[in-house]
Amino acid sequence: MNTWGRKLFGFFSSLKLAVFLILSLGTILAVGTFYEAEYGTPAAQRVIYKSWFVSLEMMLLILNLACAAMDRYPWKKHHVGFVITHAGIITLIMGSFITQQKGIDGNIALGVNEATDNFFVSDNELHIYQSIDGRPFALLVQTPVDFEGHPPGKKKYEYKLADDDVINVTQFIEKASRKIEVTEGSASGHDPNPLLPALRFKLYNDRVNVTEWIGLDKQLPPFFDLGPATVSFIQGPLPAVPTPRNQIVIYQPNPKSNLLKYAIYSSRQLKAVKEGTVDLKSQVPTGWMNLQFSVEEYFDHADPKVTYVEADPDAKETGPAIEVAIKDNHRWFELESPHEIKGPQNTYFVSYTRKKYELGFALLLKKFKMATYGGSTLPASYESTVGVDNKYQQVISMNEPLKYNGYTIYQSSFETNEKGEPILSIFSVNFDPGRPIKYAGALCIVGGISIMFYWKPKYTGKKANKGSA
Amino acid sequence: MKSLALLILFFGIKTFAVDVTSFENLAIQDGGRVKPFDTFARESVQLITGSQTHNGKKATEVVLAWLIFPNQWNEQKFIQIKNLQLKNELAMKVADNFISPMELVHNNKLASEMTALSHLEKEKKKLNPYFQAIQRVNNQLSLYNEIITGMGIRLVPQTLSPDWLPLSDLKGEYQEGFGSIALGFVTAITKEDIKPFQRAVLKFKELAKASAPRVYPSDASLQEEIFYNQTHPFRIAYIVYLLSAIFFAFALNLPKKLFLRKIALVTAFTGLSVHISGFIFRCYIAGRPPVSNMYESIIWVSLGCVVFGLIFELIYKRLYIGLAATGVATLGLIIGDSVPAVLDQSIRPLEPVLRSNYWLTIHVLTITLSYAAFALAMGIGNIALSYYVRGIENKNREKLQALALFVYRAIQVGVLLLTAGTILGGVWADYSWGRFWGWDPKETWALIADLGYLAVLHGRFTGWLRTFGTIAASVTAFAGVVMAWYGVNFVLGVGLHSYGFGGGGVHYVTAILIVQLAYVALAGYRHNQHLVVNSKMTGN
Repeated sequence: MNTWGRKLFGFFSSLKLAVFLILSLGTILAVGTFYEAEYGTPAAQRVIYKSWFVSLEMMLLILNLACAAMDRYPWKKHHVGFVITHAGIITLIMGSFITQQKGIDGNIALGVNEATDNFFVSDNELHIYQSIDGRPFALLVQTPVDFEGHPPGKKKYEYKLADDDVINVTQFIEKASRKIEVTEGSASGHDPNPLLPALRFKLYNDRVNVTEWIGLDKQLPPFFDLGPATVSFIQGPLPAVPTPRNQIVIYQPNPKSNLLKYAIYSSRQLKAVKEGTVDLKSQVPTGWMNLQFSVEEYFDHADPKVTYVEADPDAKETGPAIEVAIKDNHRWFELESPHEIKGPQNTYFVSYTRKKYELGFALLLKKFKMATYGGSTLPASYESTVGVDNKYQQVISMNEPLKYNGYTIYQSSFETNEKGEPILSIFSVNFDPGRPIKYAGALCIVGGISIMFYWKPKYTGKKANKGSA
Repeated sequence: MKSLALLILFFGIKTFAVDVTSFENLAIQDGGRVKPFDTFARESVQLITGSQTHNGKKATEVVLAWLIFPNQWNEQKFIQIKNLQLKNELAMKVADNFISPMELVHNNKLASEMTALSHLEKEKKKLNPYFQAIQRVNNQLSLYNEIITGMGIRLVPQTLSPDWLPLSDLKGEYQEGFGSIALGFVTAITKEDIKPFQRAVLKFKELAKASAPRVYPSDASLQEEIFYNQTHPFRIAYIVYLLSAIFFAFALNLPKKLFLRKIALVTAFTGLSVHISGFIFRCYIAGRPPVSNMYESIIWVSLGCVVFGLIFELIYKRLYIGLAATGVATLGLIIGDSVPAVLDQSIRPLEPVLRSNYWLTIHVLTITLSYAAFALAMGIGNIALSYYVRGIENKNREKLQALALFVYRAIQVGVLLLTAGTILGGVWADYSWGRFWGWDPKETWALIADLGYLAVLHGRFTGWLRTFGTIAASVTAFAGVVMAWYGVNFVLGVGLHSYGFGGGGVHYVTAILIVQLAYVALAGYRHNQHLVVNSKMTGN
């Protein structure tokens, strides 16, 4: 070895580097825990624990541990513990690395008597298909995307398709809320997909005030569900109502004329309690809870623009959404809500979706039970009885996972309805090829430290003064 | 009736004590566990009034009085409020610590704060001390309400349901049975005749037992728990440890060292045996190793600290180690005993994920045992630092070198246990949550604490840490343990180890940490002065 090599080896095998790495790793991780308390677990995982600098620390640590062990070669008896421990740490980190690269962590949510043979992971993918009649036809692009870690502003997401069409992902919102703007379009401009009618209604009393667009266009909801009441918009004659409930049906008896009529139903009878012709902006009492109803706007050829904005921090049930552009056409896609986008040459079908894996067997939830400690509401156990491939059944509970086909399936949580009854059992699914390696490393570490502890007095304990103080 | 109420106001609340021993022996189902009424009463009176007795009356008598004479008690000031901001909101004087149920119920401000609290809880937000106080009042009021309505007093087991019947749902002979207990209680107060009360209690117990004989606990097991409640084994243990620490300190500074050391050792072993008995007793009552909350872990860490200390003391025959071990254990147990509002002493059933005695034992006991070794190192370190602070390090150079070695050995034991415990935690997490390591704050802080001590061990190899460095670092590195042990659960409050979360004491812990670091800094300053003087002397 030349002097430079020797110097470098000396640096990487030095105890001083070890102490520096230990202390800096400790500091970074400590910062990470406070970051997590402030910004939540996913943010801390992304920004700190799974960052390049923690990986770099780990790699330097491996190098340091390996060089330090080699430096003492040929090993003497008192090196045994030291070498085993260092080899153990290296093995453990390697095992974790394999887990990170090859391991799969996913989720399954099943209602009782539901079955599945696949599961989702938290990684997302972008799928682009050629579209025929609004349906996916040929898969053109399938690629993993990490918009949280690498937002579109910082990384280019560009996909070249046939006939010089290029699709770009231009925006990403992690917690997005939907915003609809509707304008009056022309009657003929958008063939072969003509613009369809839409209306904006208002429903209010002293506590509720709702204004929403409903319409026949696919981008607009056809009805609005307020909870105790619904408002819907249809074309054609007034249909028969199957069950009594509070609802307002606005209908257009003749598609050629823009005359609108309404019918108000109550939850007590099948017949409409009130019918009439819609007069824009005029209030109609509904008869339920002092609610007043009015149609604020109506467009024969409504041109809806759906955009997404950052949701309120407290808003519930928000998800990620991306804006996709092809030439000048921009459209938004929510996770798991695929639809079309038109390009200058072709129409495409875009799906922003979680990555899916096959289980290789069918998992059926037969029963879910949440037991409580007697006389209290404190949960004592969560148990899912599952059937595997119709062959046998097993109970999955906390500390009792199911192992099958290389996967381990754990009871992770559950969801309840408003009455507090469990309706969904949620499992986590795990495949971890690094597990045996990690366990071997762990065993070496503990064994090695024990040996070191045993050997230590041989050379530092000599100076210890025996006898009373 | 009015005269009875007056009588009760004078006798029931103020003076006469009823012998309620028989009632303490009834079994009650509460908080997911069947326990003697004595335990329930102590826990309830503790929560509501802040102490296990009220005006010198036993908890069971107080609870019975609430239950039987709610109208009189509703106007009495006995619900403890400590938070100053809350006192202000409730228009209490700063010096007053108690308020009546009626005042609380009729306070509109409190009602709106409780709504705000339920929103915070729903969103799983961390609570500041003020809202922790609101939460406590909420618990106090709802427990009091459950007692006076009888809805929280489940005394009769059923055969078809695991839920015991509360007083409010009793019918027929059971209802009559409890009615005669209430009458007997009144008779006991007005006529000072306890017999009808005791007869009624015994009769009721037979009825309750007959309702589901298999479920009802034996008299012996109820008696055992009452015995545990009454003896306060850990309180006895720390008094004995304190004595032992005093003997060790005398032995260090007085002649007749050998004799005093023997006395100190015998005292320490006596304390240890009481401590261990209490620990085993608690295991036996809970049916699991008692390491599921902060209070129980303090008991265990103190125990581990004494065991390690006595082993080291017997090997090396150094009095400092005995002093450090008994001193740390005394402090630990006193803290455990004195802040019941923060460190909950009641035995509670386990969260589903913890219901594995095997893993709970090997993972948690190993981790917390490492805290014990580190606490011992910290104790020895602090004793050693006193030599620097007093400026007598030159005279005690050899002694300090030996102390640094003990600190080093204790840290080695701690690192072995903490590493093994953390890895075992990983294996358990892998088995139960499906991943070996997930950077959960509790895991991460266990690792950080371990890294801190690893830095000390390696720093000694490099020669960066010599005698003073090792000693100072052993004390400083304990901050990592405090964070992993207390901070993650009480300060950060995030992550998967949520079953151990709590609140309170942050200011005290921070203050203690600051004082500790200042002490290390002072020792370092004095040590530096010495170095300068020494180098000048050798220079000359």
